[in-house]
Amino acid sequence: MNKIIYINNDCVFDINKDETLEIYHYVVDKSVNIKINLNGENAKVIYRLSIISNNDNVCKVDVNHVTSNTESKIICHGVNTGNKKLEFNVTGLVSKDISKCVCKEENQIINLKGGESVIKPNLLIRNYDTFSNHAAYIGEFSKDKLFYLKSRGISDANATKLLMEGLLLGDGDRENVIVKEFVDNLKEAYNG
Amino acid sequence: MLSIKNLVVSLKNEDKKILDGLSLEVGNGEVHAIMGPNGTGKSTLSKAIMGHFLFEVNDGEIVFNGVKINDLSVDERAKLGIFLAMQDPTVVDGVTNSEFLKSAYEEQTGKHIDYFKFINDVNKSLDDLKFSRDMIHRHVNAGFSGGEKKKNEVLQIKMLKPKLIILDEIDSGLDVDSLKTVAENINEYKKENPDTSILIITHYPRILEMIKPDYVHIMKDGKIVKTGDMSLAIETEQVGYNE
Ligand SMILES: Nc1ncnc2c1ncn2[C@@H]1O[C@H](COP(=O)(O)OP(=O)(O)OP(=O)(O)O)[C@@H](O)[C@H]1O
Ligand SMILES: [Mg+2]
Repeated sequence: MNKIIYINNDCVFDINKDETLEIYHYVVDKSVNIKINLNGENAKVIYRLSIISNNDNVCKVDVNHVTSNTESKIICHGVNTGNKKLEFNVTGLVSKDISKCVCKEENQIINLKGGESVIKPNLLIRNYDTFSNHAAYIGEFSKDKLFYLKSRGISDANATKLLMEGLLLGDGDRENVIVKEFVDNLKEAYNG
Repeated sequence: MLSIKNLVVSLKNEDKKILDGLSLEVGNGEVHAIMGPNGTGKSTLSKAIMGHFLFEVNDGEIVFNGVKINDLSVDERAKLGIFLAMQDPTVVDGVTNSEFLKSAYEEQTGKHIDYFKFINDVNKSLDDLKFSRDMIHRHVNAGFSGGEKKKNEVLQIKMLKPKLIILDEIDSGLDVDSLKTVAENINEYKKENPDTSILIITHYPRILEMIKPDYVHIMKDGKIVKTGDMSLAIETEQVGYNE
């Protein structure tokens, strides 16, 4: 069974045997606390967080591989628009008696104005046959990409907005209400 | 159209001059070609004209249609009508070709897009370029083949209608048929907009046989050292740059 959901609030997810859940989580300037339990064999989760942050915020995402043969892929993208702190704290837990899990993380924070950003990827893997990896990036938008967009007459502000939307909306369904609401907030956050 | 006088350019915070007193005059409607050995500064020239962040103009001036553009931002230069088709077009993942073109078009014209007309124009341009229609929905240059990236540059030219087109090795990466298609599209554009000037940077006379230049320049060590016509391009191909 394969399910896709869109959320804008904290939740606990219990994913059972043979279930796959894709979560799109859109957040405007608040802290996040998400728990995901992979409870049965072949349970899979793809969790995507998109946050625009202007104040001090901590995004805590915990994934617990409760059973063997489970898969998680956690993708957290944030844009820190102000000069405060944005922290990603993403934990994948695979205990010793659990085998054959896949546990992946990709975290990225773009600082627009030199705010402080922190990524703490914690892979607590006690088992040897787990496949795990993580990638993290904190920095600015690529100057080359901005140059390319601007070389076609797009202003710096609009080029940044395009890259922000690209990073945060990803392949989320732009017709979904939660996504639409997020896009409106994005525009406001950027203009203000 | 474009008047470059005694241009000296280096990488920011470095002393080494890449362009060292380069001058070039491109009149309205003229086609110029620049050839020159690898690393001589051809792409640097094109990027300096566009205002690329890596380079600093230490001396000289770049004047476009009477306006000195040395200190203009990149998008201001584009809005004046300068278009640089890059040697290696940048991948912008996350942004679709259609969003990108739409934003560029709206900013350049100051008009809100008429969506149906826009899609019609895009589709027609894609067909002209023998370029698959679904390219418009893909992320900018992401996963595009070398030749597809080049066609995507030409698609943007057709949509954004620049006055000065700089083609930095547009012919590299294009197969024989694609090169022919691209050249036909550029020629067609030039016919419809006869005042458009074109600066072709290339290593090979083949493209110059298709898009006929009025002048051919040889660039070496950051300057133009020789100017002639098509015969100079053919001669250079035979004898190389050291003769
Ligand atoms: N970002 C950079 N960092 C370091 N050196 C650079 C950079 N960009 C250009 N250069 C140097 O400037 C010189 C000119 O490079 P440029 O790309 O303009 O050459 P080109 O004439 O376009 O060569 P080609 O025919 O190979 O495309 C080269 O020596 C190159 O190494
Ligand atoms: Mg080059």
